[in-house]
Amino acid sequence: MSADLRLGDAGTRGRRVVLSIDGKSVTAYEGETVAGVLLAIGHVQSRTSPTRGEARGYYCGMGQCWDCALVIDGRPNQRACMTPVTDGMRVETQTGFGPTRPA
Amino acid sequence: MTLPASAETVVVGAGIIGLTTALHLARAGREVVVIDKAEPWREGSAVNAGTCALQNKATDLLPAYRHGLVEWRRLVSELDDDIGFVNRGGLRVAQSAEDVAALRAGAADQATQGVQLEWLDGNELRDRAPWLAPTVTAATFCADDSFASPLLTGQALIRALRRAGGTVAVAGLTGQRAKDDGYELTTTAGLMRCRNVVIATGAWTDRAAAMFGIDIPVLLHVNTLSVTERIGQFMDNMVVTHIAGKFTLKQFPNGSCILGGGFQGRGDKDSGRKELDLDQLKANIRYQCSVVPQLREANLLRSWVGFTAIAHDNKPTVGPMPGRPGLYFAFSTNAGFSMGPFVGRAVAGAVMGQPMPDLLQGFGPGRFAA
Amino acid sequence: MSGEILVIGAGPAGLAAARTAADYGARVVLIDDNRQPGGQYYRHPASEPLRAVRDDLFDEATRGADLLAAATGPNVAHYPGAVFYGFFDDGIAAFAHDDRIIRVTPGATIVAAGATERPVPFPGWTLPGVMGAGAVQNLLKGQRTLPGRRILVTGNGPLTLLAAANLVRCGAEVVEVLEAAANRPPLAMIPRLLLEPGMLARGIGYRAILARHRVPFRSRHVIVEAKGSTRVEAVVVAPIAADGTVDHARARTLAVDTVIAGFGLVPASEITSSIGCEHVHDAGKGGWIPIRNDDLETSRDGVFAAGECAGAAGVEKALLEGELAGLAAAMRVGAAAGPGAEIHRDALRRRLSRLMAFRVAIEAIYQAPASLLSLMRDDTIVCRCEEVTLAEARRWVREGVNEANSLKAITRMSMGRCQGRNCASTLTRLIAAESGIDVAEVTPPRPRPPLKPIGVAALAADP
Repeated sequence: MSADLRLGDAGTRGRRVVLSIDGKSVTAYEGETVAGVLLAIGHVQSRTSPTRGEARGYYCGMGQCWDCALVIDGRPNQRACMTPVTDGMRVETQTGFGPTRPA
Repeated sequence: MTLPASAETVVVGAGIIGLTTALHLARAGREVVVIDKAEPWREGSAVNAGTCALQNKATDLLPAYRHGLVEWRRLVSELDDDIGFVNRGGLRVAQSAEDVAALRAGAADQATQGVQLEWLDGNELRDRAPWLAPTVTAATFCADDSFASPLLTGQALIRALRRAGGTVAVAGLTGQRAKDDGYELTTTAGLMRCRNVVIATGAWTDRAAAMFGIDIPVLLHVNTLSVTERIGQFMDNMVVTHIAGKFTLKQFPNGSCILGGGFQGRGDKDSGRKELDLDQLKANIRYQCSVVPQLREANLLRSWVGFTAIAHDNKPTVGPMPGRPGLYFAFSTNAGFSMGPFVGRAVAGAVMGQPMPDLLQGFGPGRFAA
Repeated sequence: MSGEILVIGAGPAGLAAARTAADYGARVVLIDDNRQPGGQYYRHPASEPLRAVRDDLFDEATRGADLLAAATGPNVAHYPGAVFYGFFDDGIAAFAHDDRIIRVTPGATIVAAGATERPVPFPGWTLPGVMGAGAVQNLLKGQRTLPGRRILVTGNGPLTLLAAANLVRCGAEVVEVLEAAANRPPLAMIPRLLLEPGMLARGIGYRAILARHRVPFRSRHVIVEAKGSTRVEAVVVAPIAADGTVDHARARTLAVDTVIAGFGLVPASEITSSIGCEHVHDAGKGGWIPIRNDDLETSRDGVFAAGECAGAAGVEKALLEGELAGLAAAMRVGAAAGPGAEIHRDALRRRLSRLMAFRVAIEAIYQAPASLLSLMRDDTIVCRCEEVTLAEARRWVREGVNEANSLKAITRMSMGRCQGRNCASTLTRLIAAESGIDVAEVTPPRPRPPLKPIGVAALAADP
């Protein structure tokens, strides 16, 4: 079995981008969503829920359930399934409501 | 729930005033039925912002509103269920030079009524509320300002009322006639006999009064409200109001922010039609973001409008109707939620033969008779 | 000609509506919250190079190329990534786009909002690794990526079978495919099935793919629990007895890391509900759907509904309804008229009527057993956003809160970011079950705008 869950050869998937996921450097391909990258490498938990602290991840895959929401470039509550990756993007698993950052 | 054929007291309107009136009657062992034209707790009390504050109230009514807060605390202790009452104080903010002058003058007025305020500006204000926009140059802090959850309060009251032996039924009042020692009410769910009737129908008070041949003019306000998604706590559960008006903001303990202030939507109380006005809504949200920029980071989940009743003299209307034994009116202008539990206790007392409290003297429905 | 046509949704129905109306010369405003047109069905690969990855398997976007071209065609103004806000006074419709609110005053509106996955809560359904059939289809079609390494597919309906077949064709290890229904056509339905031999053949083909890869397909089976602490580690599955109850005595545990749970679709009727269109509950079509006339016009004048949001019944029906609604709306605004348009309209109505006769048979084959509604335990989350459990919600129903809006208010169920999409149907079912009435008698909570979350920043933007 291949190292990750992507179909096709790495060479056929287009331009590479590098992002960080919880501080670790990860190679992905332009056009992929954050959710696609996370699932491809087996990182299925996007957040812990604010009230019960339960693990949540990619569920509806079409932007409606918000369970895949996590912290992207410091902004909490960003849906992994609706966000394309970019070079240098910082993705972090979200705890509860995530960081409150001054606007 | 079928409508009982009779009751000692019928309360028309299952909002904050109607339900607290009924609760106190039921707990005193009195027979009471609350009727509402639709599901209980669906109109003004249910869809308002939950503000129970002093700083945004008219100066002459402050003593009554202060007691209103005492009654809110009492209600919390009297109910089994949580109603989300939070007392973390409130900030009344000023942005322009005119705002600051008005805030100073207002604070001086409020002090005459015994409201304790703390003046904040400069670094002190930034330290206390770093989430306020730099354009906010001064604020007054009032430790009494509070809020409750309209969503939780209604069901808690209904449950408490039922446990105390009271009844809540869906029945719209359509007419009445004096009969024997009381009233025979016609409703959408049938006839009801009673000795006392309490009209606590908020925005519909003029319609109900007309059924008794009484003229109580009521101005309709259609207030716009919005709620954000749940986000991390960042404003210490304080109530924020603005000296220039049309602004209430608070973050509930669950993380939702409620954006209110009274920007006007459109509505018609006879058809029940309620509509947002997009320009007003956008002005509302823009204003909120100008004071608390961090709101821009959140998603808005819902906006809606709710009705509130305003008397022509901007005073509450509470008490027995002169010359009409057993008939009571109770609606409180503009800030019904803040004053609601106080008014409810007072009206229940009046039904049981007690005098109206001093703080609510002079607000009787008889003052509308020309 | 009076006014443009607003089409909400750029999936099969919305695109067909936009293309038809534009072909007749009407001006169309087409909005959709995805960045690309096509909806879930014509889901594009996320990049050009990905188009070539397993292009033998996913040709929907290629087959739909003509239709997709409508989004960029003449007479169509397409707003990708736009979230519909609501209808306001004076016929104004508003949507959020690029952090701004845009207003239009359409002469007619076609709601083609699609459908959402039917939420069927079971213990463990919130664990990472559990996802919907639509979610896995998007992952395969859009990302060309598998969802996990050992996969259970469970659910009800043809889409779930399709998702399973696609996973197998992509080389995923699918341990079993469970279909809750008996999955046998009643004899009386066979003539109806033969009305659409092409579609019938496709369904049989999906089963053949599973068989060829020796993936067990079990009808009358269902998941009863997903286990794990921070992700799925195992599942418990069980047969459904002849009386429709889950046979827990014959439950088995399977080691998997991924669960595809697809229990059919619920029409996205929140737009038509929010503006007060009359609705009817149709279990076979997925739930509450707007009542429409022969032109697919709802009870609100000038508002048409087409595709899955007016009854979940597959892409062919969505395409036909979109075309019919696009034509009817074009006639409404005066762009289409005369015998040509009428002949076109009659042909569409005939074709649609035959298709719906076929769908009755599909609905019969996939009729779900009632036990799907009772997989929950007391501590099962019923509202994923607000984290409400079954016991918490049921307590209030038993206290007498048996009206949907009141239950919503007190429990916060349906008040979160999904706007009730993952829980409103559970809420009404719960009220129905506790009150001993049919779910069709429980009016769902009334949606309030915005019907999907909109950034505060967009509303705060000038003017």
